[in-house]
Amino acid sequence: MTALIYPKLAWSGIWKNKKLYIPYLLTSIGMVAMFYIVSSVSYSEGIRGISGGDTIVEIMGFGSGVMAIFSAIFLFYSSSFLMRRRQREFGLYNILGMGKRHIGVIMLFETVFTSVISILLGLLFGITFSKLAEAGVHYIMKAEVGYEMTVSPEAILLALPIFAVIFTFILLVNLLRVRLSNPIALLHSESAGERPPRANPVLAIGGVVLLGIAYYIALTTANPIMALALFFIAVIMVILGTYALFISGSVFLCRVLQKNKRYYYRSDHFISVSSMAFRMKRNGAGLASICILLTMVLVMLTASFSLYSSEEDILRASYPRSILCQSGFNTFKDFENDETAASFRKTAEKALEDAGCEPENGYFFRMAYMICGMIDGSFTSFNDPSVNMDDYYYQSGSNNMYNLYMVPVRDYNEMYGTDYTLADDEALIYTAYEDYNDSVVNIKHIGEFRVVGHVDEMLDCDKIMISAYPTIILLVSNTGENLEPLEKFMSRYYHYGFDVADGTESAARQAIYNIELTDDGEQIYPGLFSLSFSSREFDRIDFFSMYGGIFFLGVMLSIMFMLAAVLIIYYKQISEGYEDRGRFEIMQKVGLTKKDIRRSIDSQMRTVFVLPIAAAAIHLAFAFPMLKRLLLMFNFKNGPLLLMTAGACVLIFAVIYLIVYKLTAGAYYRIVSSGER
Amino acid sequence: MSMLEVTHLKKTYTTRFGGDKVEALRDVNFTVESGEYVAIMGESGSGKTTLLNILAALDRPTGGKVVLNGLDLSTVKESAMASFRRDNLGFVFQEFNLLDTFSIEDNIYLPLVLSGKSHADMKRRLVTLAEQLGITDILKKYPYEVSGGQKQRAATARALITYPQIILADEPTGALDSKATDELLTLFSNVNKTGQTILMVTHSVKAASRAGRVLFIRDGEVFHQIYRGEQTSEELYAKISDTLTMLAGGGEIK
Repeated sequence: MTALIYPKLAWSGIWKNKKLYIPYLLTSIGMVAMFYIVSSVSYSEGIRGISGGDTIVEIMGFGSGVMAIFSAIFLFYSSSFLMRRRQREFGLYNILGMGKRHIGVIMLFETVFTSVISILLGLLFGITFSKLAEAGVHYIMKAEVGYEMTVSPEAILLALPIFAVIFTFILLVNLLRVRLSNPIALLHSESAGERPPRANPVLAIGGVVLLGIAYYIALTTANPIMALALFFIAVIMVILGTYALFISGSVFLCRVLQKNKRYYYRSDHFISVSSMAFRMKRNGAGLASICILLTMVLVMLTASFSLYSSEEDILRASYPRSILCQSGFNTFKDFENDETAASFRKTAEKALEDAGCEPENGYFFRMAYMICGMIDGSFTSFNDPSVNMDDYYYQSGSNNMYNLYMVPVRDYNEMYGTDYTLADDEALIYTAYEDYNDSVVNIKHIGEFRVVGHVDEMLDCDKIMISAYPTIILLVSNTGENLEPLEKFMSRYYHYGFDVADGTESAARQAIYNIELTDDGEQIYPGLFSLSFSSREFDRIDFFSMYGGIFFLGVMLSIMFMLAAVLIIYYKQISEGYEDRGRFEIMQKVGLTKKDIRRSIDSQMRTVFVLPIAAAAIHLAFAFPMLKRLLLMFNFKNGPLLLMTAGACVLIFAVIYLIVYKLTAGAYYRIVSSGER
Repeated sequence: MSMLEVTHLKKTYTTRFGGDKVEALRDVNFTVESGEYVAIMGESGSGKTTLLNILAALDRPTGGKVVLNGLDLSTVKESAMASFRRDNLGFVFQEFNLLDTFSIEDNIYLPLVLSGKSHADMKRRLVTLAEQLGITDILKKYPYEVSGGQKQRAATARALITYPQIILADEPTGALDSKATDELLTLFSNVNKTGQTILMVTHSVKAASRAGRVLFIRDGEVFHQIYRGEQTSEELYAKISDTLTMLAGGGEIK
């Protein structure tokens, strides 16, 4: 009988505080369900079976790790909020003669109840929705879906211990919290001596500076590789800066407003400004968290959706034709030989025709290539032993890396029907990522080329530029023996691209694959050492599984972050409601009308509502140029699409956020007005 | 004409599930003249608080009426009630009811800000008032930084700054120590001497003995009243004590 009192007290504690516990349970159920879904995708045989499924499985494996970490953080946050509100009750139990050990037992039961509910219902929802998620993955990857219902025991076995550990850890921390407190403190913990915060200008200025630097980095980093490295630094600075600004900057701003007597002593500003100044320090962190979560969601969805939705564009840019053959040569001499070039093309065409394929829209050019740095005014290969490596890195900053390509101008003329003629020291130039505005290009060991003009298009440059360094393509009169000093530093390839009729692609691939490079031990072309092909359809599968997986994970993480943001907003409103109840009661006695209450609450709500999403939108706006450059590495160049996606994401989340706010504001009004006479 | 006229005031509470009716006020009649200092005494449950809530227009009577300066409170619309309260009544509460989000100064300004007064006007009013109440030094402080007595003086300032018709004080000394109580009561007397009408509900014989007239409420009716006349506070104190003893014994006073 007495043993039963603890579970009973625990259950009634949950039930009496259902306004707090139901959102908590919903969130933890959601977290468990989503963890299950993501990890069940990572264990799914059905998905592993489809081509490219391995990539998805890998991404989801990584994704479930990320989800577990964020679940732990969010659940920990919400339970600490719950505990703050419950301490009064525990204090009362303590004063009524219940030892801390007994309170601990009650908390144990509460944790058992909540975690069992969360895990069971979470798995149930997870299993229900995982089929939907799997269908989603199949849809994203454009594969067929099976309709049998599956349960993933591996995912369950993974979810169980992870969430058991999270809940146990939360319980331990809460127990410690009760242990360290005394009953009177527990009883009064809600109304513990509140002092209005002083503005901390150092923190506020620090926040502004951090954000300024991060924004500056985002706006000015031109090189995608640098952008990738600096992106994370910028992200961390933005996070710190946002917290500093919300916590201190807002108090500082309120204090400034309070100094302005004309502004402050007006009935519509008086109450809202003072109570915002008062609570910003504590709730600034909450607002900053909401802002950061929203920013993450916006960036993630914008990037992953843009990538995913422009898959065909990117593929077509990477593969102007459905198949591309590349063959490598050992020497410039053999590479430059026009007979070899013509004969190579004929051999390939014949092999294709023998296989019953008709190559169309064929193009052909020769291209020599090296990665180099700008040293003492000339482009120098990274493999050049005569140069100290340090010079590459220190001479002109860390951006000192270029892709340098050289193409004989007659190949270009044939491809594009132009008739450029160049002297030996002249060059036409094509650039990507960075403009090149000098009138000469100086290449170490070779000498100077005068830039006589720019060309606007170059096939295959998207494919070859995937490394994302600034790229310079030089069209020159010859790429033969004149370049021999660079023989060891450059690689030389023929590019032969063509379309084939639908359905004959795999036959074409096979035909290219079957071309023999040697005949009786002799190379069919002198100096030819490799022949490789790549195909749009082949890459499409990789593409879908990679970008599709990222997109799917992006959506799942967005849902999770949104859940967390909603929970934070809700708890914020509830706790402010309890705090404000007494204040509004007093103010009504002093002569505050119901209309005034409504107005002052609305004005506060508007500010508090607008702040995080406005800040998130500003973050996104500044992240935009950087995002654009990062996506270049995936060959994504569709700026307008990215902009539209970003705009749409902001709009969608503003609407969701507005709805959530309206709903939680209702809870707030009810709490405040329940204290009225 | 009296400043405040209360006639046949009646308040009946109905318990939530219908059935039982509780009569908090049965038939209360009294008047307060302008410039008077009236204390209302009675035991817990005698209807004091209900009476004060009705006078403060925080609650509506079941029957009878309250007339303040010729205005029947029942004719004031619900929407206009808050501003009526703000402009005509000043409140001092047992638990001070200062807002922790405001400095003392801003707490005092609150009703004026709500009435839309200019800052210059508010400042002008506060300067003299703060001097009179001895709170000039603590204006910039926050409620948690000052003592209970100082808080109550600040609350009094908040009540007085609107130049109300009448001050309604609900156990103003209930949360104060004896020294602070003496100071506050002296303050009330001084305020009253400037012509301010005060109506105070209290348990404390000491507080009541400083008033000009003491009303006793029992079972929802005004049961008895004592005028100070020419008596000193000590004499009045003794008389109130006697009355309370009689009340406790359930006897009748002639």
